[in-house]
Amino acid sequence: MKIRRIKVTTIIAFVVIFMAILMAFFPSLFATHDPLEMDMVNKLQGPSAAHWLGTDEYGRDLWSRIVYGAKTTMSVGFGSAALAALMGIPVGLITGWFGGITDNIITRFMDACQAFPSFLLAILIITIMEPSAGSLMLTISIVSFPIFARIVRSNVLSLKKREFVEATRAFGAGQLYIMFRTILPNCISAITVEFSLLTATAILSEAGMSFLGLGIQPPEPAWGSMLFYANQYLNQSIVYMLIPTFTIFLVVLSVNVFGDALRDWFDPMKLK
Amino acid sequence: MRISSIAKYCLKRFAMAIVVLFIVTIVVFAAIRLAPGDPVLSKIGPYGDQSQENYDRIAASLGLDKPVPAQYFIWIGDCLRGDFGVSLRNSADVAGLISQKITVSLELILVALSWAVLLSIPIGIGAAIKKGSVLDQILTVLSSSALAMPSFCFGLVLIVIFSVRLGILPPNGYISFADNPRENIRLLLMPALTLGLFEMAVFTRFIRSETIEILNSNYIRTAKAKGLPKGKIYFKHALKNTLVTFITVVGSELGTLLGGTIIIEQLFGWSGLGWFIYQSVINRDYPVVQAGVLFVAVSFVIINMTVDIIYTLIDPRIELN
Amino acid sequence: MTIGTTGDIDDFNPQTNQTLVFLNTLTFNCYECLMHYDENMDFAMDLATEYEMVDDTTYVFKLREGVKFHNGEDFTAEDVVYTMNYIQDENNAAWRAPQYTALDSVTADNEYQVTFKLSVPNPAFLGSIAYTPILCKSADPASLSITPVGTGAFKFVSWTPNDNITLEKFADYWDADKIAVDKIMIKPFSDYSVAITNMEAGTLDLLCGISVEYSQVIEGKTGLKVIQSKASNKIEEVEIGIHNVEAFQDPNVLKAMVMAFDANLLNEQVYNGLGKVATSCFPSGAKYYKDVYDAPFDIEAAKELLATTAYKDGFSFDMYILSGEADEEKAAMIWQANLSQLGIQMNIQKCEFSVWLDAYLNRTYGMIINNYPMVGTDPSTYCGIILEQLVDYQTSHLPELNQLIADGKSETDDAKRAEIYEKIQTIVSENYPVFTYMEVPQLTGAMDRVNGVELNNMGHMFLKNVTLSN
Repeated sequence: MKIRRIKVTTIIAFVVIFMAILMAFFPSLFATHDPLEMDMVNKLQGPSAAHWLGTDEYGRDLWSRIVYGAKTTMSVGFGSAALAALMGIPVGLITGWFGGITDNIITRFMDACQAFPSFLLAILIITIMEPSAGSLMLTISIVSFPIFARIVRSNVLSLKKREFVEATRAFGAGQLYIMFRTILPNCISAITVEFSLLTATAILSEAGMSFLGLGIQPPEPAWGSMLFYANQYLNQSIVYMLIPTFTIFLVVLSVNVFGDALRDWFDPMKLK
Repeated sequence: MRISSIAKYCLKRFAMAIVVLFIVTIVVFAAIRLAPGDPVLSKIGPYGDQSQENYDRIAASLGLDKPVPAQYFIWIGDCLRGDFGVSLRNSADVAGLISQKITVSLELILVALSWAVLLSIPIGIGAAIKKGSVLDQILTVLSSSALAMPSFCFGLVLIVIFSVRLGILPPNGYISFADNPRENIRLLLMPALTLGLFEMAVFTRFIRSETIEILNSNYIRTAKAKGLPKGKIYFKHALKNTLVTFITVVGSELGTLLGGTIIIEQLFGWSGLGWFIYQSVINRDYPVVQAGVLFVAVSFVIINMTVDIIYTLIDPRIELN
Repeated sequence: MTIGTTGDIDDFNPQTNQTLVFLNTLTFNCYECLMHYDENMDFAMDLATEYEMVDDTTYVFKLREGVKFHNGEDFTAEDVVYTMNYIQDENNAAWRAPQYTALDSVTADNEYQVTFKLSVPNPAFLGSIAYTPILCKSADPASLSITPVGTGAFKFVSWTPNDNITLEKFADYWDADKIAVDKIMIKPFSDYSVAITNMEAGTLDLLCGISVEYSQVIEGKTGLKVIQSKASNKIEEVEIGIHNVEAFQDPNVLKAMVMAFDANLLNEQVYNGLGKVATSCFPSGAKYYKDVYDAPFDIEAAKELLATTAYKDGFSFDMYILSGEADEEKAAMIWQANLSQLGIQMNIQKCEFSVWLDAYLNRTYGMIINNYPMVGTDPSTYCGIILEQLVDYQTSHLPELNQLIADGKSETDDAKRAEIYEKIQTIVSENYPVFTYMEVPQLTGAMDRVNGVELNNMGHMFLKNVTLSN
């Protein structure tokens, strides 16, 4: 068997994601300042030795805010994807496996979710729950779990007819056993790829919601809400806007590249 | 035989659509009322008469004094008769307000989608044919980058360059084509470019992967083995097959964008449907939100249904289920 | 000429729409009152030519002749009577109704003279008249919200939601020769930076209601300027939910918190020195204004004072702020940072208007930031709108204050009134049901070519004398 080469871009992407996660867990290792410490006299400064990336409109250190913002933003990203998986996988398994009327009802309901413009639905949900990291997570996962369910369902449908599933069934295994122990592991590749895509979408959604003023409440740092505030100072400091933009861009790009690599890795076409 | 089965298929799809729309109406009706913030208090405002009698009077005049289920059935009944109610803010006719916004949004969406479609087809197929080449890799990086940026960031960059630095394009606003075609186009350029860039990235990636799959499929290999000219293989077989599935992708994007371009509309002051519905959510203008979302959902369902039906008509191999 | 605002106007009935954006930009250009406050806060005559206070409760206005409404009807005393009846008819839910509860009757003595009779003396009455637009009695009341019909210099043409409001010069205006602008377009913007970019690009002449922080950005650009009112009646204040947060019931806790509020820093760094640090709950333009605050910024003293109370270990509360009010958000954020040094945790709830209003009117907040441009110069309007509504909530434990407010409303003797209002200011500064921290200027951004904008201390903008050079 040929050893597959891992691309340089994949390694870079992995490093970026790893660093972001590290920042999220141990921000104090990276930050140079308290992200909430104000210094009004030195507001909206450019990069300098004291402030590597400059300061924001309250004179807070931008680098430290990016570092501490990783925690909020990454947890919204991964948290939304995880919640969506938690909701979407069982729904997909059940609809795919049982079919019939259960399938019909749930699928219709998910159709309705999708006929709802997703961004408007997200806005409605977030206005009900009031903006916070938790409600952002919940909102994004509610809006996107049907995608998960659909993918799992179509995987189940094709696996259902395969010999090994029939064989397990012939051995007298219970429905739940087959669903979770036989079918689910075979959906893992599709789930992993979708998970990475959703993480990227969730980070972008946080930015989008923040842009409309529905993001994380101040003063807690998050990349999307930093972008929202930076936008108000576009006339004074362009650097301020570029910093969160570039951070989001870099991380989302890395997650996407990593997801693509996963897809290639799992893709049976390539194995041939 | 085939015609009757298509008719049956259409009928079934139609019935499902009705169920879906029914769910949508309930969800939007409940959701907007669950949101904190009271349209009656908005009418009273910080300076008005704060008495309970005044509150009750205003609530009654807005029709918000009845129990919510009763309000729902009144609304649904009115909708079926073609009456979408009046705005809580100023009693303006909701149908009139919304129809005004639809053409504005459609102009932006159609222009953005057109240029995205026109460019992504040759680029996507070209990248698929020259798979792995430097050009293909650059295109892949570019399209991944476009997908990794919040779309409004690209818009902000455009505003900074073209309006602030160069001063050659107006930063935002909307003027209808009928009033002033030149200004309309000048104002349209940046939002259409921003929206289209994102769509182009989606389309290019789709066409590329779809074409690669088709080029690897058995019948193209057979065609190659038969010694058919390359051009003929690419354009007659590969292109045709890619485009058939591409229609569904463009269709569903069209459905999603209608009412879904809130940020870009707000950023560029392009006063379309999405931004209007969003503002109405903020204002808790229930009838406008309900009618707006219902319109978007109906269009989404109709577009998807049409696309599916066209799809089955073009490609007789599709199973009707 | 194009005017930018920070929000769309969607109700054109001046008796039901009380938003500042409507009041400041459109109301007094489309409608007129009997008179208005000019830049010096003197009464300038519009639909009236003179008025006379016959006794404490009777006012007679002589009206201008030859005035036409936008629909071609003549303006007469009957229109004034109609307007007052409209406001007092509770079915119309007019927001000025609480200001006219003392109005007993309005009668048309002849075509061009009206008499107002009050049930009790009301020193704030003329102030209310000076910003009450006169409606046309023959205009359809049902469509007032969509098509305003006034006597103002500019006639309403059309409204496209979220897009523009178009006004044009009213050719039959009684002072039509002076109007130099043919067409006005009002456009809403979602944020200031985009609006300023538009001004730089030359597509926007005026930008109303700009936050103070942005005024320096505008001043820094060539071709742009900032128009400022001579003084300001606009105050920014924190209302304190004493009935909701136990800790606030101890005046020393509130005093310690106020001592942690660095108003001077806020004024220098955010308001560019254009603000005026408040020293009383009233705006300084109010009659009987007195410097009563005595809790200067001192974080160490604040810590010591808090240590003497039962809340030395701190507590937490919710602070509501309205999204889009950049200056107020800054004030809350800076205060939050200082309070955290005292161990007090302020949770900022930045919310949209409807949610903010819910909290404000139902008094469910820990603290809430509000701004209020006081109408006229008589403090009874301030007391009526801000303090009187707190009776059942924040000031329920201060019966003396509530009695003083009631007395002040109808007292006519000047020396007694001075005494009453000085007492009110003192009681408020000791108990902090509200904490006024800053008096903010009324600012409008403008292109250099725009001249003759009249902006009074309440922020009302009058455009009939505007000229555009070049």
